[in-house]
Amino acid sequence: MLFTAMGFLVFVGISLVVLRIFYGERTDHAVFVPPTPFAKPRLQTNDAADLARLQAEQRGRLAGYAWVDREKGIAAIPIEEAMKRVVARGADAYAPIDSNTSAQQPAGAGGGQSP
Amino acid sequence: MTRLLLLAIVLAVAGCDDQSMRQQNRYDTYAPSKIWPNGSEAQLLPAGVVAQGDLVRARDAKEPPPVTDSLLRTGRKDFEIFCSPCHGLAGDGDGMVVQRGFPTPPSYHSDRLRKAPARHFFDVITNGYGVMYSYAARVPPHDRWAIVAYIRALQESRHVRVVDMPQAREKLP
Repeated sequence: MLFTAMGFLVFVGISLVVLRIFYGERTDHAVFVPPTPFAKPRLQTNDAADLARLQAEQRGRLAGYAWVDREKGIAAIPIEEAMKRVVARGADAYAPIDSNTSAQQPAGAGGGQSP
Repeated sequence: MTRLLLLAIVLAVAGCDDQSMRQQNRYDTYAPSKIWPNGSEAQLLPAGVVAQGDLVRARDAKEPPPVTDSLLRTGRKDFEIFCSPCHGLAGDGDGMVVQRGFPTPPSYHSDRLRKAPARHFFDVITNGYGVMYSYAARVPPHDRWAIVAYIRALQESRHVRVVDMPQAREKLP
């Protein structure tokens, strides 16, 4: 009887440890950044102008050509060009981006140089 | 004789049919009507109402529409209306709501989301994720796919190998 009870306790103990390790490994720890205090003034004195400025800056990011990673030869292109390229893919248009680029060449191929 | 009389009485009573419960002051299904503009009792659902078991909607959610230029324009319009307040117009997760203290959503330009299947974006729009709530009631399935296609275009605009696009080489600094 005592032996059975001991064995049961040992079993429960081991199970708890194993489950703890298992969930620690397997669970995705989604990181949600908590709300942060932001710069003063806390009240927007001219919200329309703030939004216009922010949107102009964001649209500017979508407008031109720029290097993202010159070493790997990865660049940013205007959104209109990107939309044309996505349409041109046809049936693959929804596929993840990385699998669409020329897979035969390694990431650093070209090194940002024109071929 | 008595039997015949009894039969006659039964038949006569059966003939006394009270119509008052059948002829009621109501419309039958698909009856004509002068009240409504379409002249019928049957009315179309108001815009935005989703009937239970709407098979067209279920099919739209299941099958992505082919990506065309007009689909991407729709996606762009809807993205700027529904998504950009938090995710930003360029998808970096820096919209105005975030500037005012809301938690930052993940950028679309990360390896994780570039590799994510399109269904992931669709499901997040449909069900919400983290602090993002569901947009299923606001954006119909076809337009959700349009937004997903536009998100792909956003990712493409930030991740092009120059070897794949030689004409971009001259325009780069």
